[in-house]
Amino acid sequence: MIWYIARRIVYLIPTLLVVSVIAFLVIQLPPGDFLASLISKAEETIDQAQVDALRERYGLDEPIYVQYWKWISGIITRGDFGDSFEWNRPVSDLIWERLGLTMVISLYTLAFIWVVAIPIGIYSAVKQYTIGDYLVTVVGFIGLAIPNFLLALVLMYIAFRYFGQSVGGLFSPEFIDAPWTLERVLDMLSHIWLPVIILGTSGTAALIRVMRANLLDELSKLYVDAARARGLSELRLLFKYPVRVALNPLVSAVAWVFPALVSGSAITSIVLNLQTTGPLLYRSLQAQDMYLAGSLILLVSILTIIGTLVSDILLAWIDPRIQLQ
Amino acid sequence: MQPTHTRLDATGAEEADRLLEVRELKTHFFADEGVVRAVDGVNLSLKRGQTLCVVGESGCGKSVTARSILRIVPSPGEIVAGEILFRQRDGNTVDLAEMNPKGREIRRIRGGEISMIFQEPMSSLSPVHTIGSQIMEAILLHLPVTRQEARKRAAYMLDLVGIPRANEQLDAYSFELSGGMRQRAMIAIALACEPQLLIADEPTTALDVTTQANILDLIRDLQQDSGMSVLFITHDLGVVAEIADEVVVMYLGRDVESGDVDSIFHEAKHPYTRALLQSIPRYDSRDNQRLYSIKGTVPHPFDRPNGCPFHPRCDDFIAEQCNRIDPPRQRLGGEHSVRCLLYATADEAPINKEMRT
Repeated sequence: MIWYIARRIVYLIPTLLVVSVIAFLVIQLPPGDFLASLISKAEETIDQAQVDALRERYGLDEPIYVQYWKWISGIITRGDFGDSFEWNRPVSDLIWERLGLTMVISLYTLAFIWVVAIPIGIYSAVKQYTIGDYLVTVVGFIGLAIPNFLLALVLMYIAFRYFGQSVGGLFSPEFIDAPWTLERVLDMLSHIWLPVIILGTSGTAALIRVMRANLLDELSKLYVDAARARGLSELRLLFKYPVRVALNPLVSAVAWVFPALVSGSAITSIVLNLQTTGPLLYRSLQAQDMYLAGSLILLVSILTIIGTLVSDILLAWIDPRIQLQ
Repeated sequence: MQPTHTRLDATGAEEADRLLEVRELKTHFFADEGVVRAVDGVNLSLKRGQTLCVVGESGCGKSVTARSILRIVPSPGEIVAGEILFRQRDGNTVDLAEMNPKGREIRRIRGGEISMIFQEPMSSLSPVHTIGSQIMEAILLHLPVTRQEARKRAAYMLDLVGIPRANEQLDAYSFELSGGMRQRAMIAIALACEPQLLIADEPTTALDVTTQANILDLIRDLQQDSGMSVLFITHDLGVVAEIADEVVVMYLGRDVESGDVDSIFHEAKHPYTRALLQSIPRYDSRDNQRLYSIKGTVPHPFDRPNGCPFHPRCDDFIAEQCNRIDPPRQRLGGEHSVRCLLYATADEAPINKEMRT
């Protein structure tokens, strides 16, 4: 097992390198650069000499591979992701807190999805084709069909209108720029439920369907009958055998939850005014703020790869059928 | 329907010897498309220490009969009529058909007094639990032992069914064993609590012929040592000849003929039984002789023929009778009985009466 993990980690290195190249190329692909979009937005015209001076200062004249080398060697040797053109600050200053908050929200959302979806999925499968199952199915499809940002607007309205809660953001106004204290953490926890529900709804709906389908497959298998024929009670039987087997595919789903939450929820995060990476990525792509965008894409990719690794290790740990070779 | 089974009731001495008696069992499946009468009036009787073989084509209700006894008929199947009388170890006779299929009573019997092994050893073991944990589970459910004792007994059982290096194999997963070894492991689980009755639902069908013979020998040896009864479901008449004491031939959810193995093989009465026996390839047959086969196919479950269910395929079909009259169960002497109008005696075949209705 340890060898398996070690080998998988060694394999990560070339993957990460390739991913970093692709991330850099992707942000170079759109025509123009940060200066072009800056000039197009500027009120007065900027003369060519000024443009050239800026271009040189940002290193935009150099060939792509030189720019890439500067960027990646800075990351590896100094943890320096370059400077954001738009914010005029080092990228690393901008992203770490946002990345932390994103992780917190992601983990909460993941926990919410699992805690809600798995029991409902089990119920829905065991009671297949009953009123309860149909009800869950209908509610699930509604949850899947409603766009997250719309749900965000509706829930924000309800929270504001009926509960008088300051909605939007993760903090009450007085805590937004405050240093991390226990009060700030508590304040965050009191705000986090709304984004978690909103971000988790479609995932929950999808996972209910997946869990139901997985479990239905397992419930009809012979080993369930064999265990029943041994005299096991229905409830113990259910959780010990079919549910246990049906959970395995869910573990592999952990891999795609992370990147989806980091990048996919940008619109919802903008609506909710969350200090997460989604809106930051969105802004930086619009402004062609290449080091910021590139670093975010790189981090999302790294999260994906780490998520895959974690789910592979978990799966190898809980499913004896997976051979560690 | 006429309560024909009352005539088959045995005398007191025989009764004490009787472990299982199934009377006019009916298990139907209530599907959206209609009712499938998978088991529609089956009678079985099994004595202590004996082997009863249930024979029939695919879809004749053999497996559903077996599952009905353990009350593990999958939904939407239900027992709608009949009795399943089982004599427990404590001497009391209980009707399994009346028990709540999820209740404590039947769970105590499952695995403890009646065990079952299935057709596909590939899928009847959990893919993510060790063999040992599944044997120990059965032991801990039914015997008053500690975990260590259960583990010891599990190793003993694996050794008993001929799995080499039993102690190591306790921690093996089912995918690490061959088909034959998995079926041995299933037998170990089934026999771990020394049941009075083992139901074997085509336990050798999915195995190759050599393994098949090994498993049959194993079941027979274990039966001789423990004195348990075996209800063996198969479509293989060769297997029946080898292991059966009594035989029940089923067709479309009915027992069409039953009796001891000699009378079934040498004095078969029902046209279906005779046709089955003729369909066995013989090694002394001439090269260019075609193998006999029963004409037609088993009808669709929603399309059961009236009268005798076998009449559309029967060579001895009596027009205007077989397609109208449901043949009653006819005792021919000893345990041998048949459901066929060819053998209806005058007083018992209510031919004229039913034809008028």
